[in-house]
Amino acid sequence: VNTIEDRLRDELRAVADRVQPDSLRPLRVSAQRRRATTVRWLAPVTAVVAIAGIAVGVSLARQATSPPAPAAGARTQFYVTMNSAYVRAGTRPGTGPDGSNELVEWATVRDAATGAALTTVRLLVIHELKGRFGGIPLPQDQGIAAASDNRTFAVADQDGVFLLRVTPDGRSGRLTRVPASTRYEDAIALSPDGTRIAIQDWHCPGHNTACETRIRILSVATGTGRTWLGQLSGPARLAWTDNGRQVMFLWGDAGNFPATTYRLLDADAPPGSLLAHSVAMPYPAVPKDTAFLPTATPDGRNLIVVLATGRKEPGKFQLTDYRIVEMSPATGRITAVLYQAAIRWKLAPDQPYYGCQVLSVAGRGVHALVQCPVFGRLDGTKFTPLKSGSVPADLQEFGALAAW
Amino acid sequence: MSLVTPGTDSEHRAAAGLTELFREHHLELVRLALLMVGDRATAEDVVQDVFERLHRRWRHLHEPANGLAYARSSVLNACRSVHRRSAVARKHAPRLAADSAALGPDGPSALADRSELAQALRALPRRQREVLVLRYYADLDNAEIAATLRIAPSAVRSNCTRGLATLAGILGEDEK
Repeated sequence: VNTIEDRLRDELRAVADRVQPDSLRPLRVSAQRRRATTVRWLAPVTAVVAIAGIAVGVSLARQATSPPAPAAGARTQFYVTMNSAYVRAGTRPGTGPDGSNELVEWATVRDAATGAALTTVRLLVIHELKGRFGGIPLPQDQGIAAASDNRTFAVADQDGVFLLRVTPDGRSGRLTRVPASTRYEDAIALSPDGTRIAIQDWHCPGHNTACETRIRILSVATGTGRTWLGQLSGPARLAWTDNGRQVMFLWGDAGNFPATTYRLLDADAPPGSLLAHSVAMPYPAVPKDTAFLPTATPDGRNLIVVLATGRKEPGKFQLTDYRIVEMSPATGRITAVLYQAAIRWKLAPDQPYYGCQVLSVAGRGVHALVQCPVFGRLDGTKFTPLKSGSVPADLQEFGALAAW
Repeated sequence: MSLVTPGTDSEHRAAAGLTELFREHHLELVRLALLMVGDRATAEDVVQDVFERLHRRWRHLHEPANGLAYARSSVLNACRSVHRRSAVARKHAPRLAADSAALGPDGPSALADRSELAQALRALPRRQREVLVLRYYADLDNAEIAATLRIAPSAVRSNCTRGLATLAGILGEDEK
């Protein structure tokens, strides 16, 4: 008998049973909405809950703003973050009518040495003309990836996939849409030369039908390319090999979890079965105490894995030891402990996950953007905190939103 | 009692289906939302909103007979939005102070349950949490969970395994 499973089942049932049928609030809709529909809701006898009518308009604004130039001669290497926030419109130029609210999504190009913001590109604005924030759809399906030139980035959101090209000084960026229709992006990866993009999403024939995972490799100029279908066990952690000819992805053997392995897909292979057209790489199985899926560096020489072990402490505190380690792809043995962090936290209501994760890798060797729990860069065993103001501390709810 | 007043035959059938769904599963859906957002008022709002949307879309569903799965998916999506909204609101607390009332008097973080295990569950990554709640509260099998979350059955299995392992790690006890 699995103790955790039994406890979980009992506790969930106990919480759920606190809501009894006779205590439920009945439903009703506003008079405004009733008039607007042919089929009307009849409020049950006791129904009295109003829903405010919310008019939602969507507009897109894509523009770049440029702060003062960085010091002449400064070495510039960039990373890009994606953020979203609610703002009260009408309180600053360029926002919607006074009294409305907006959901704003933007990308920020930052200096990789200091974290300083160099330019900001607005990605998506959704206006909510009246009422509360509850009517605004939230950012979903976000992703970000970088090409090897460190100046070409791909950003994805519910509006599509875009290329962000940054000028050599990082002071401005130009956004262009990749002409491809996408939904449910779980991972994107930009080829080293920035001409092709690998996208993992879901192919769903219809509601209530099991979906298949789809990996597509598309030209960023035309949106055309090839598609392979298969059943993955989770996010594929797509990564291009540094020669730009193949894409690595995580393949989960669901029947033998956690025996998740990397596979290699030839970008020019014929479309069809993902499994049939890819080959297994000699990477080791994922260790059981892996907190997040492993990341392979572009040169394929390193595998970066986050391991976690936790223990209880008095006062409902938990102490979780995180280790970011480098593993040998050949043997699966840990070859170096790159970074360690012990996070003591008290389980609190609705607390976001403040664990450690590897957000993006670049170049040869270990050069990674990580959050553990502080955001920063990891060069080998050297960790340098970077300004985290624009990166949500609760990245878990927003996805991995930084790349270089 | 019917929830909707039908006009045409097709509307009548749609109304009957939606009414039955409400009658049979309103409670279950509120409980599901409660387990995801931890606050009863928010949970009821979520389900209210889902039924409102279902009402508008019901006649356009490809398979109305599978309305429950669609409703479950909608509830989970809406709960996801609540989490994201509350996270954004926390981050921008000063700016949104005037709007805090919009999130409800308690805010979404007012948990109905403060047991150690329930709180550990809430600390899991979202997908793992959803899979565990659908498995151990709603008693859905892998195929049903996959259809509800629109993921592959293998992803259901891996998220369940990983979620249980993480829970055991957080609670400092063996998984078995």
